Amino acid sequence: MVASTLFFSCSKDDETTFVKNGTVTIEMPINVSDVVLNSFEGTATNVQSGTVTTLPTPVKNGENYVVTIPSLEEGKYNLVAKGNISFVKNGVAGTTDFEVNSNNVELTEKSTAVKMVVSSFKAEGGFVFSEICTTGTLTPQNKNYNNDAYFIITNNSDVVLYADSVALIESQYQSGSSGIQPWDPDVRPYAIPAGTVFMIPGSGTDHPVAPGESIIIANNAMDHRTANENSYDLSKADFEVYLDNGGNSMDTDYDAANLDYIFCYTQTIWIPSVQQNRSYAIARMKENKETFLTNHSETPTYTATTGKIMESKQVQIPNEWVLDAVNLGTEDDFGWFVISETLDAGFVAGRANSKDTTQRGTAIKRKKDSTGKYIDTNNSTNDMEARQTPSLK
Amino acid sequence: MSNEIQCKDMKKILSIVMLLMAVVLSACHQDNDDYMTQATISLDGGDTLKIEQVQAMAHLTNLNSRHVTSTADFVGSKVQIELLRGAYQAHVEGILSYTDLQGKRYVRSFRAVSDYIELVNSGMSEVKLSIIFLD
Amino acid sequence: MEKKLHIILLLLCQFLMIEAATLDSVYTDRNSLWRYTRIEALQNPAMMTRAYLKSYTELSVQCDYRKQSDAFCLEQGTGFLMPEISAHSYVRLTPSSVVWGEAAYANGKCFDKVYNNVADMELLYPDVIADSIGGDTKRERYLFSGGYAAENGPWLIGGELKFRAEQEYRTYDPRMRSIVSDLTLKAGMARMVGKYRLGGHAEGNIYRQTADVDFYGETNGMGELQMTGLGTSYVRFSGSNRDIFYEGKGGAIGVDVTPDEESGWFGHLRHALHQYERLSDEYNAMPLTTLYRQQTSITVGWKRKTGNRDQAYLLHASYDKRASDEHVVGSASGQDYPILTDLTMYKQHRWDVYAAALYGCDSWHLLARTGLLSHRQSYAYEERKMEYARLYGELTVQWLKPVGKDLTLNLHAAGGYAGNISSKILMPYANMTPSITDYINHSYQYQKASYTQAELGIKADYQPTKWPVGVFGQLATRWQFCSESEHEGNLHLTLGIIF
Repeated sequence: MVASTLFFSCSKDDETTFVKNGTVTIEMPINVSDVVLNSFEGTATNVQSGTVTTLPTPVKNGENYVVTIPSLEEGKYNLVAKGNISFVKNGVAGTTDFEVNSNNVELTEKSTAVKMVVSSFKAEGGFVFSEICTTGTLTPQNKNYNNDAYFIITNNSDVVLYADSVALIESQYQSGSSGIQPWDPDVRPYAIPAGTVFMIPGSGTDHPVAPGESIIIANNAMDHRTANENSYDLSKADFEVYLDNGGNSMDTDYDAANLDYIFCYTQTIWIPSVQQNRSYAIARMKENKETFLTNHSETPTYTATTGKIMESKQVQIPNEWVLDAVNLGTEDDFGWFVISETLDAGFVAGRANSKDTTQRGTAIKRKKDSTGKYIDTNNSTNDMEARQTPSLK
Repeated sequence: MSNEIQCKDMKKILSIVMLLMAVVLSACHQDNDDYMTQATISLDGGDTLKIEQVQAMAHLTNLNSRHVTSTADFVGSKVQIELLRGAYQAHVEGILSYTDLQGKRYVRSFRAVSDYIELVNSGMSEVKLSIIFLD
Repeated sequence: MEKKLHIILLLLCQFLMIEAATLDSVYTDRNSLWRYTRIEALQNPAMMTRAYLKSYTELSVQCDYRKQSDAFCLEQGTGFLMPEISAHSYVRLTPSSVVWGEAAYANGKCFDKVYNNVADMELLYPDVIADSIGGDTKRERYLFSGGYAAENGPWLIGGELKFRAEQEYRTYDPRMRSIVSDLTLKAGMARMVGKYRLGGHAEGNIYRQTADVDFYGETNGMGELQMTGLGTSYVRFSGSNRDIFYEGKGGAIGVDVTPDEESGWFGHLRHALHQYERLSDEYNAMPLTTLYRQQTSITVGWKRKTGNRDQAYLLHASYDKRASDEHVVGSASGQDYPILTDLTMYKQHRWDVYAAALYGCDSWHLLARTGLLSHRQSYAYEERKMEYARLYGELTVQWLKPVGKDLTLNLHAAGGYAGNISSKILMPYANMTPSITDYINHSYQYQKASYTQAELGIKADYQPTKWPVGVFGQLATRWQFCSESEHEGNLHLTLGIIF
């Protein structure tokens, strides 16, 4: 009798206890709202037996989602929960896939509730300029060709972002020393003095851009190689700038979807800065065209040495709306920051000096880090590289 | 007579031997069975902020076995978990809400990591991790 | 029932006595199964004065071969081939003093060892360095031992020294190489108390082993695992850490009671404590684990020899405990790795309890044994367990048969069965790699199996009266059949001279 208790494992150990009505709470990030769980896949793997149990679909409970576990054997489990959620963060709609896991979680009669947290992710400010190509090209006859400017905007975040209402902006002022004028009011500390604003249309979720994916905005969405064999094929661009001002426009409307014309300093045709001495920005427009033009149109002035009052008819984009900005300048003549330094603390030198024409046919590109994400420290001196081979070449 | 003496000798020797055996048998290796520690991980944001709520997954990797234990059960800025005594690598990432000295509330993403923390006390162990904000 | 058995044995004995020719008492003293009742007492060197009736010296060449259809124990491989030459000697210097010695050299190979890249795995398990590739190994062993015992009045004293040097290595990747030195010193004494000898002995042991694993092929380079029991390993220092060494020390004490003549009560109690520390060469002799081994055994029995009949009954219990402490290492400062704490993660408890009865009549002996074996292993975190228990029975028959005046045959046959009566396994399978899962499942499959054993052997001693030297030869075969439909075959061959 004594021997049997000493030598054999007690039969009591082999009785299996089951945990009923255990719960797994999937906690959604507190910095987002209107969270909707679009899809869910969850498993609980018993560490000892290796049995995998599929978790049922969670039910919304307040801001979070709760899975009620079917009857499970007491023990340690590896939990995996993955799926897709849509949410709103700071007014920006987004969707993201998530996957969370929790290892060696104890599920016993005493410990029936488990919590898993969906990690935070960057949803705001995800769009960046990944390429700015405004240098124009040279024809085989060595003539300047300036119609082939394009911009590439990339979603640098981990979530799907919507490009609706994202506007392409060119600064009103140019960064060379000759552009320095004492404009009054000087709105730069709180807004971009903009000469050109074209906006991606949409109702809010019409133009999703997956993480890492890009939008190409062409000035003219045509195959420019037909006019200049050294140029690029921009006929596949996602959007094009079309100066749709009714009468005077000399712009051509190609097949690509048009950006909404909000404001432009010229009424005929817009050519982005070939000299590469203006700043470009993208911003999330928070107002429709009429309201925006009503609220944000301004004409700063200054008195020239001749006594003449100089005017700068412009619109102003509030700095809080800005998603990304890049200062372009001439290497030996960067006179001033035409937008707030908080938006871009440096500049990228497109050309060496005012006589330099070697930058034609090149593009400015954003650098990438070791994980493949674009570097964005809000300083173009560090973040951007000039004289790169245009990716659409 | 000689039988009595021999019997007495036998008894004497046997009792000495039994005593020796008892001493020796008790001098066995004592197992070190105190395996677990109740570890408290505290997040430290500095003196200028008061952490209200933490929503994060804490992953603790035992440096010797590479075994990972996870938990999200934060209460305020602390989380408690029972772990095997040892040296760990800690990785906490998520969102927290805090108030600054002026009482203004912020909700921000953060990360707190450490490549080496010692959680070896039998009973309670405590460690502080400094926060870095990700946005 | 018992009475009937006794009568049957008596009748058998009478029948056999008619058949028997005269056996040399010296030969019987050396070769009879009756020696089984004295083996334990002879662990005390002081008791060696009465070990044999007559001096002898034996020189032999032997070979042992084992082959398993599937490794019963992956770490030990599927078999071995071990040729050996040896010399044994027992010399009575004076009527009250003896000297004995042994020297042996073996050089052979082991087949298909996996998850074990050290020598003496049976001693050091589970703290071994291992990988899943393994392979055949070559093994070389030198053994020297010698002792002296003397009697003075009622007192007996004795001392013995044993030294073993061994190396085990592999000539292809993963190239393991282990070098062992194992020294044991024993001292014992005993006193005549009435009809009994009451003795005690103590022994001390020093053990060293260096073990390293190399890869010569560039693409073959892989990590070695520092195993810590039941498939676990010390992950942090596994991988490129391929040079380790062991430092061991220990001792044992024993107490014996044995009748001076061949009849009376006998008893034996032994308690041994050993520890083996595994240190890493690559990390400045940092201790990884320490294995503590405690072995306690007790035997109590009674025997009687009257004329040409003898009988003995005994009960034996032994307990073997292994505990492996893992040293939890902190953060290195320079070359020093501080140890934060020690945790006894692995434990093994092994009980073996059996009863044996020996009955002999003239040249025949019958030994029956039945017992219970319980083996339990556990690892603390994450919890792992592997346990089994077996009930076993064994019957051995020996017949010493003189053929003419010059030749004596020693025939034996044995059969046994060890049946599994309980088993249990608990593993965190979801967190184990597939190769470790296979390794664990293989080990468990053979631990919880049942085994049938059969053995047959013949030894022939030939010494004509004119010859100063006798020659002998022995051939034996032993088979084990596992309930997993696998089997093991053993072959033993010895040729030697004796004088």
